[in-house]
Amino acid sequence: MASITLDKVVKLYGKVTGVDQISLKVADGEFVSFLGPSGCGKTSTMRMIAGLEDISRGSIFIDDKRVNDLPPAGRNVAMAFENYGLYPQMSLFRNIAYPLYVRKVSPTEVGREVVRIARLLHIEDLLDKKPSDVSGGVRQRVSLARALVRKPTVFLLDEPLSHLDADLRSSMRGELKRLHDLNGATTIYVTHDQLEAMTMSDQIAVMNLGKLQQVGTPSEIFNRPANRFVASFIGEPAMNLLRGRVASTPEGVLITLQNTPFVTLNRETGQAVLETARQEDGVIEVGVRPPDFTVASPEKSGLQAKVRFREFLGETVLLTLDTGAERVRVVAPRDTQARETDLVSLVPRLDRLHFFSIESGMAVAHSD
Amino acid sequence: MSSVKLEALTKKYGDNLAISNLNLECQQGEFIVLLGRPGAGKSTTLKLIANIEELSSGNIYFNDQLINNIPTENRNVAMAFESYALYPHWTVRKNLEFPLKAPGRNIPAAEQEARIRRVAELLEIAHLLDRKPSQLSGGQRQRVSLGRALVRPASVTLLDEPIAHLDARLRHSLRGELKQYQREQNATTFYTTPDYVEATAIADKIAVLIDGQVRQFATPEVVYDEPADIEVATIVGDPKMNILPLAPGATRLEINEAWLQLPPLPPEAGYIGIRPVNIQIFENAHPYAIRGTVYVTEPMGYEQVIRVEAGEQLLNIKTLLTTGTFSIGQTVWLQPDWTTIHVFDRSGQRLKGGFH
Amino acid sequence: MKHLLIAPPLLFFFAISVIPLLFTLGLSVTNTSIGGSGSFIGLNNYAQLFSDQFFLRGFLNTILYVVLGVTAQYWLGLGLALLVNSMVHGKRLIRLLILLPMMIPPLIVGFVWQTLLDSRYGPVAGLFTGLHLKPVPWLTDPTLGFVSIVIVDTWQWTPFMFLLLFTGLRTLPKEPFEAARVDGASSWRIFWDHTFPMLLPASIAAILLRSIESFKLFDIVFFITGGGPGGATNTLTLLGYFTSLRSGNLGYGAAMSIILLLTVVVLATLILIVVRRLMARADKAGQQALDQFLAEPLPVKVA
Repeated sequence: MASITLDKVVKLYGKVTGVDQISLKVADGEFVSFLGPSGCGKTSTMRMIAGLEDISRGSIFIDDKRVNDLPPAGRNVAMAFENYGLYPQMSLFRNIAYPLYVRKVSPTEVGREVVRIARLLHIEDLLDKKPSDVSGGVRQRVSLARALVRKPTVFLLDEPLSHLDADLRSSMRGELKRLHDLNGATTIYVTHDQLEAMTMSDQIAVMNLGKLQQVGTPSEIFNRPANRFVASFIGEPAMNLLRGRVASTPEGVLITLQNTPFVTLNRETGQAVLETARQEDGVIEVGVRPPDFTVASPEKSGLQAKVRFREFLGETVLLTLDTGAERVRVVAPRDTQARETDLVSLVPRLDRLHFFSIESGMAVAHSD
Repeated sequence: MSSVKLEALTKKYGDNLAISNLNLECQQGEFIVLLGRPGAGKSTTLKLIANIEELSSGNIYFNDQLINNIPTENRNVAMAFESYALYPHWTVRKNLEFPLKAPGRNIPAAEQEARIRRVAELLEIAHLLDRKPSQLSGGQRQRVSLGRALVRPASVTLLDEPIAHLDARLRHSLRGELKQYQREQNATTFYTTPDYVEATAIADKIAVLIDGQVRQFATPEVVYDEPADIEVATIVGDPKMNILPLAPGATRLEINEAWLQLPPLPPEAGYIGIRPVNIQIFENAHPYAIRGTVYVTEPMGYEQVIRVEAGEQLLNIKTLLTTGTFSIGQTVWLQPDWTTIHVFDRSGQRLKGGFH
Repeated sequence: MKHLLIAPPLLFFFAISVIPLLFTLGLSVTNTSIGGSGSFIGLNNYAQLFSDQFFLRGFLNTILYVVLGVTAQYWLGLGLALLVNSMVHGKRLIRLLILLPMMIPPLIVGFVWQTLLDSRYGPVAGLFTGLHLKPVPWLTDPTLGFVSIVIVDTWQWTPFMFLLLFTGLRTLPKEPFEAARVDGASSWRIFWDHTFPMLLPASIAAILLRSIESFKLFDIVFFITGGGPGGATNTLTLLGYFTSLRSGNLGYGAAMSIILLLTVVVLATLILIVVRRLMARADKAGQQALDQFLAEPLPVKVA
């Protein structure tokens, strides 16, 4: 097993910058997710680590050894491909066995390892089939099995669960996490699904438009998002982002939404917000996650809003509300009385507010 | 804007029974969601209503009129396909215009324009009207396809997983807007999805489809609170409801050499079901609790899902992240809340009544 | 009712394909000649063919042209296709250059190569003389004439192989090759384990098409050696042409055509069968290996 270091890695496609100056360290045995929307550069970055793409600028190190010029075979990485990359002319068994076969592992051991991994992924009864005879879900598991059958320096998994149905995805998430817990292999996991990244990772590297947005533990990414993009990409439903006016009062720093007082921050949190707002016409962006509002009767002080939709989600309801200028989503307990067209007051949890600069989108303060 | 009645619908593909004896009845203007796993027969049902697939047997009524023999083009149904099925050589505007211009519709030009505007704004594709489908992303194409189904008044609107390929933000916002729009149009809507959250969020009534049959047809609240059988119970809810088999006549639940007294149950009880939020988890030994080993943990923001191996069972528990930090292999104690259990008989059917 | 719709194309096919064939077949059992009517002579023409030295030589030549020419064309074409496919820049230009020989009319090809290889005035002869080597009788020596034709045929038709195989290569999915590189396979292994098997359908089609075409080799031989010297480079089509149209012996020529047809059908079928066998055998080998592995005792509980 190994550590991976990316030092100012750049990938250019002609004049387009696919990956822009990414620096990152993946410690030995860590499970790190590259998370972002499609086209954010996460797959390109992984392919550069695998050696399938040239590195335009910067360096990649595996265990302190610069691998820029090594071919994939020389890096000893294992990879599962989003579009499977299976060998169409070979049975599933031979597909999974192939990496061992080219390494001249003894047939007995190959057989044992292939069957072991196939059982783990519940495909042991299908090994004599060809890729074209099985479903997308099975193909994806074969691709995963082919990566897992080896003992590489690092596992690279490119959206390995994306083609599975919801049930299987949910159980495979757990199995992969357990597998990592048991064998402690350094793993890089590319996904656009924030839930996968949140549930499985030691560290998440959030990417957008080729740039690294934030690296941190799931808890850091969720509770202290570095910027507006991370804040709204992580968490479902997405964080509400509201424009507030900032004023200094004797009690602290007052944030006003829609001309009504919203919260008063203590001096510590308030100071940074105040300073940013001063340079940006006295305005700040306030981030509140949907579960962090309490729905109260309209005479209570808070953000006044009218319920537009009420959607039943089982344990909770999702309310979509209009505040006049903005639309707000709130996740509330299912016994919440508010019905469609009702007027309510939304009271935020004061310890879970996030503030972003309107202009740069960078986080200015978190009220935890 | 019709009421719809499906009576003993059956569809065979060779020897393969895709839909078997499917019954369903809905009022004019209702929003019906067909919820089921892939292959349950959701799309086939829509295609039967549209007459794109031929019925093997059964009857379909619109407004109490039998329409079995009326061809697709005369049924006045609008349909959005999961595979989009856009006209590739036409612009988005022309694609949307087409259903309004069909012979016999006679919609004035001004109203046509207004309808296209409205739908394009609803679906956030107003800026794409002059593009061709090849210049659109998959999500945009799906919205155009949806728009084509919504743009004209129809007896029944059939939407086959219409927002499956959109990103999370759009999926959330469109869900509500779509329902609102259909309500304004007083349109009867059939909507398919494999996602229970989408179903409970948008439906007036959910029809849970399993193996080509409607297992339950009720409001989202009823489906969630009183699932008709074990399969329905495990489709609605994430993580899945825990299902524990009972020994015949059992009065207590024994797991890992410990046991819990069960509430009084009828003799025909075969399984109890308990939702992941209704099991408490403790790090230390606890009275009235069973012992288990953490199989895997999944933190999700403020909450976490913990899977625990307890005897033969793998139990899902959903709790706040602040409940504690658990690691794989750790011993934990579990305490179910008996007041919230669901009871099923040996064949998996729900037993009515409270059991606590 | 539905089947009525396919009647016209079926009739058309019958008119342009089956009738001429039957006509030829009929002709081959007569002693018809140009300008005169013939009478039925049974299988005499066929019997005569097998003692006709010219025919037997032509038959052997044709098969050798096919085997040598198509083999050379396949491997050269595949090599070029792999080479061009791995190029980063200039693919289009190179592809066009490679395809040029195929687009030149056979008349010109024949003329150009005849001039090039002429043992008295040709530039190749000039080159040899310049190097104080003895001029080589490229076209007038029986063996060298044969070799020359294989070379010219290969020169003209390798581009065709290249085109089919290159297109085949381009339609192969990219991921399996990337997966193989990550799995640690060498370039040689990747070629034999993946490229070659995945390209097999395209290869079969290309070889089959070229073989059928080669059996009918006519123009290059006609223009370069005219079948000489002394019938040493003759092909069956050329011989058929001389017999039927130059000598006017229509019945005998028709019998040659029928033999040629049968040979093509039999050999094309044989090629298909052999290749299918090879594929099936590879499959079976994999299957047996699997059975052998699965017979091993397995770990009882998988973590």
